[in-house]
Amino acid sequence: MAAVPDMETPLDVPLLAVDDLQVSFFTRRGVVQAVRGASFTLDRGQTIGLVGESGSGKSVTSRAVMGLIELPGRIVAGDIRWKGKSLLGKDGHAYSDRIRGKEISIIFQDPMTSLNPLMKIGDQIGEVLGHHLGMDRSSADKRAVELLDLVGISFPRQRVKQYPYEFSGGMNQRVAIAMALASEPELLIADEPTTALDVTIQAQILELLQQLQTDLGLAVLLITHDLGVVAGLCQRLAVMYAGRIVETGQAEEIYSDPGHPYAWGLIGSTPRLDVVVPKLVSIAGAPPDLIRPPVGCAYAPRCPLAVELCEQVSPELIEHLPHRKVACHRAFDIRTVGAPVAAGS
Amino acid sequence: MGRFLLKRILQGAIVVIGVTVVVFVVTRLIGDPVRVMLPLEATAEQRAAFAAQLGFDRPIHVQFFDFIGSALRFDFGNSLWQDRPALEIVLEALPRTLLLVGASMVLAVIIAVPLGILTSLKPGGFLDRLLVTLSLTGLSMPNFWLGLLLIVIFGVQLQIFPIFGSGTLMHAVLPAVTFALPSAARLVMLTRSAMIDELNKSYVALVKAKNVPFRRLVGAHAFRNAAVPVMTMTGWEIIRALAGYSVVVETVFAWPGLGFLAIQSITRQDLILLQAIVFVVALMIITINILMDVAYKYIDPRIKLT
Repeated sequence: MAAVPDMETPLDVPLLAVDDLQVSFFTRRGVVQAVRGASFTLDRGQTIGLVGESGSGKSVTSRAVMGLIELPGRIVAGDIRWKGKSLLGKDGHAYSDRIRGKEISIIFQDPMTSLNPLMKIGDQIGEVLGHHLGMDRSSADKRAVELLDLVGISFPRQRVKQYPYEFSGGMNQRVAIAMALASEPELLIADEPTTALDVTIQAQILELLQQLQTDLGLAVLLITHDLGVVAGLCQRLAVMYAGRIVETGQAEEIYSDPGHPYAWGLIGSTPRLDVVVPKLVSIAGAPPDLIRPPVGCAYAPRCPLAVELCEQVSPELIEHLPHRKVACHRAFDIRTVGAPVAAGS
Repeated sequence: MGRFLLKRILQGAIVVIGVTVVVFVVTRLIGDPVRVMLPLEATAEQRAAFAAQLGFDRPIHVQFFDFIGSALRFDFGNSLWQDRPALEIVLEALPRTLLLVGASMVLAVIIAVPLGILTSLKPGGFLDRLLVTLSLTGLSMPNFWLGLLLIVIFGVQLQIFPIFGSGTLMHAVLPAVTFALPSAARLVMLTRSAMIDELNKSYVALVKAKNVPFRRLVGAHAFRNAAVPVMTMTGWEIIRALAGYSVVVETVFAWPGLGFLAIQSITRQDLILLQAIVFVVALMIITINILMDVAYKYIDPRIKLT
């Protein structure tokens, strides 16, 4: 699908297009192929959830979009295009410098450590305003107060003068969101934004993100391992496994009718309150070693449906249903197998 | 802040009393001050007369309270060697040592902090390895040897700087550099590792993601945080220079400061002068510690001064 426009956005150039992205980390132990060909697109105002277990490459993908891959890591192949123009390579560098932190911003997992402990939060928001919007000190100060108000922090006028240690985790995440919104971005990457927070605070932060997304028309790339988090916020879903995207499509459709056995297992292992699940299933086995990824499908060793072909040939991400791409030789065969069962022995 | 200062000054006073007690114990109880201060061939009568003159013949507890009392009034008695108040002699030497230590620490920080930051930006790079090697060389070099080396090169061979004594600023250059280089070497290593720690933290990744200028990332964010350990170490270096290295360096350069005075008071067996020196140095160390604590508060708002 390299040069062909994405089928889901036939009319326009997608806001963000990640095309066969490959990121490797050159460590002493060997080359860790953290992302081995990830492709997805995101349109203006759209929300996509990038879901997978730890080490699946979802965070590395988001850092690559932010230009935060540092040695020993390197983008070895593929492209990241913003509004049709590449963010990578020699020409892309100057372009990406104007985009990153301005049109694309990010929030991290642990709000307690992702803010500078020695800088007033007003100044941490203000430096974004000063640098990206060219605001002077006094208008930046004013705007910082408005932004804190926007993310639901009470007494913002007093709060801008405080330090992160004077805030709770949930409030710091709100500050981080305010900081991310300061540059008036078009895309917000939320990298496990609720993982480090209490359940009640998680719900508040997700609600805030959802509200901001609709109010500001933001595109959101939500990175998470928690399908429950995606359900409320994302229209689209991309399931990642061992550095590859194994399934993309509308979130609801994937939930009700997963095409990839891994997506199926992931849904089966997510606790639900709305449906009676007799027993929570876990996916047996562990993800493969990404220094020596398997020749065939990376999920084959854990897959209940694996056949000989799966171990020999790596499946391509193919459109099986309209707007549904699955990288599996036995895509949608789960339908015939029946209810999710634990894989392997 | 006022409460904090008061508390720290009181604590400091306790330490000073402690130091005074130790000095008393060492000079009066462990050793015999009369035998230390008089030549070996002195007669018994001479010893008795000397002891009576300085009050060493009184009961030990009387001597103790007398000693503490006069120490707290900064009265240590007359130096035997120069026959004038010991404190007066110490206070003459003190500014010269402070000048030397102050200049050398400014020099050390000016050298070390930028180099430490620079090396931390590319750990394992050429500049990093070069400077780490140089630093290791610097901090394995004994002060006296470095001093002699500088004398040979810049004093004797090149004849740029005078090699001993004081009087002009030129006299201060070689001893100040001798103090500064090993301190700078230690500070480079510390700044480097503190910066590497900070640069790997999550908040720095977020600052990178904000895409603000690199200078701001390094200065306003990472170094601001790394400054806390660097400052602690600088305080340490000042204290070590004042209380230890000054003896060696000032002796090498015949710089008439506290360290040189300490050596002279020892060789001249002038216990009274030595007591005054120890007392004043202890006072300086306590003052520096209090100043450091206050400075922390300005760097790190999380630190509560209580």
